[in-house]
Amino acid sequence: MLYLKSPFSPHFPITMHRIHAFSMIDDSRPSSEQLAEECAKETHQFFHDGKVTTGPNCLQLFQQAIIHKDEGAWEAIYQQFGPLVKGWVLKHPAFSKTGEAADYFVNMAFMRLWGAMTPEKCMNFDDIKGILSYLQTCTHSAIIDQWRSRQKELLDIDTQDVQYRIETKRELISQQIHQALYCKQVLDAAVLRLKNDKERLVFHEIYVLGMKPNDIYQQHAEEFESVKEIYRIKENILARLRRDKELQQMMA
Amino acid sequence: MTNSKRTLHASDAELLAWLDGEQQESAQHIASCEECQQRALALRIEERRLQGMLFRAACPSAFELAEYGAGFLLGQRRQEIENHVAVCPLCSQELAWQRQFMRSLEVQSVVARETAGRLQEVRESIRVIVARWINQATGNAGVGLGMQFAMGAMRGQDKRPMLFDADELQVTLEFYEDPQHPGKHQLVGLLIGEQSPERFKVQLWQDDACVAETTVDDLGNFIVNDLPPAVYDLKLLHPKLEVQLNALDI
Repeated sequence: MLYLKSPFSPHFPITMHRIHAFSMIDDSRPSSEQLAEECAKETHQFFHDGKVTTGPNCLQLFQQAIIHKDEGAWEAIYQQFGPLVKGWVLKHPAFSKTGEAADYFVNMAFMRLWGAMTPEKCMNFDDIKGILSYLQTCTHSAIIDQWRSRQKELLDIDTQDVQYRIETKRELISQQIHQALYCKQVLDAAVLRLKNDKERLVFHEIYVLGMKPNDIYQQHAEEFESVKEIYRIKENILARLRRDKELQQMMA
Repeated sequence: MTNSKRTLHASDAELLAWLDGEQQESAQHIASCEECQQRALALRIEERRLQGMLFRAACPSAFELAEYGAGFLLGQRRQEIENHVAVCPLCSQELAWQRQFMRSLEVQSVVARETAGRLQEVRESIRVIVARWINQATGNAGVGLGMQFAMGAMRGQDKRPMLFDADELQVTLEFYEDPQHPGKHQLVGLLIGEQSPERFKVQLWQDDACVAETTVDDLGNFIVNDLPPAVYDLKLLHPKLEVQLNALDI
């Protein structure tokens, strides 16, 4: 049983044993303990001795975890690569903007890897570099997800919708997909109700990009007489969308 | 109610500006008028609802964008995201962070290996960067209204410099009428951020064929003459790097 400890949420700790209660262990495969030991040697060789290696034992450890759902292998991966991922988090340019602890993102990165790395995807990697590159991608996206939530907070937007909650379960991922599709439909419907390029620009930059009218004027001074014109356009847009019963029903 | 009283209240536009903290004549009235403040509150609730639903509604998820940035996405979805990133400054910023992040990890690996006393060949293949047009949103170079609604190719007809960002490199492009070839154009470029710019060569491609080639001088300048009006892809080629500036509409 593997606990991913997080200082953050009552949803944690997540127990990895719910992935599989048991795994079909092929006696001819090395054990996860053996692989973990060999993987540790390979990692040391790479970072300390400068030896370039495809990391066959590390690769097999990941395959054991992902393809064969071996709990011991997952635990070993977390122990082996957790400190490395933490180092990555601390180096990320957006990390300090999130207001979260590094350990939180380490957990999120492995959870994302667990959720996104299917056995089919795993088979496509023929060396450890590729899988670590994917783990870096998971780390980056975990930080960016939190950054996007923070952006909404800074814009004083309601953050209760499911879109920005932590991806902890596949059902939640499915909800997020539906939510994203729904929001896109509302956006497309709203844009259809706009009358000209100026309205579309103002609408897009205020509601989709989160800009202020003053910032819009700074970037597009040649398009507008003044900031006041932008506020008048915004007023017209809101009034028209408010009167549109079909759109209001969509948004209800 | 007299007409003068009816006209005292702020318009929705003024209330929206007041909510954003903009200085204006009606601010004093709004601050002391209960009716205006209630209307302002209703507008704010309406706005928060809209923005909560629409903020980045057109953007791919952080994970999908990260997969795209790392080269793990293929096919149509990859192209869709590429098209979106070209017009979305928020996604472009996240991709820039991702590049910076991945590059810092590469450097870390190189330093670790060199510190160990072994020289390793880190780059086994040429790195390709698609440059980002960074002043597209400021209305330069004939974009038209709004990033999302800019027409496909990047236009240079109004001859203001186009600025591109390619990680640690920047490229400036300007187009002029070629004085030696009436009806044709001259491309003047400047490569910044490279210590040895003369190692680069410049190619202009049209429909999978290289139609012009030149070199960059030691100050980063390059010029291509006698260009018919068309859409080109520009490549800056270095032994270990390729920078692409795509869909330049001359």
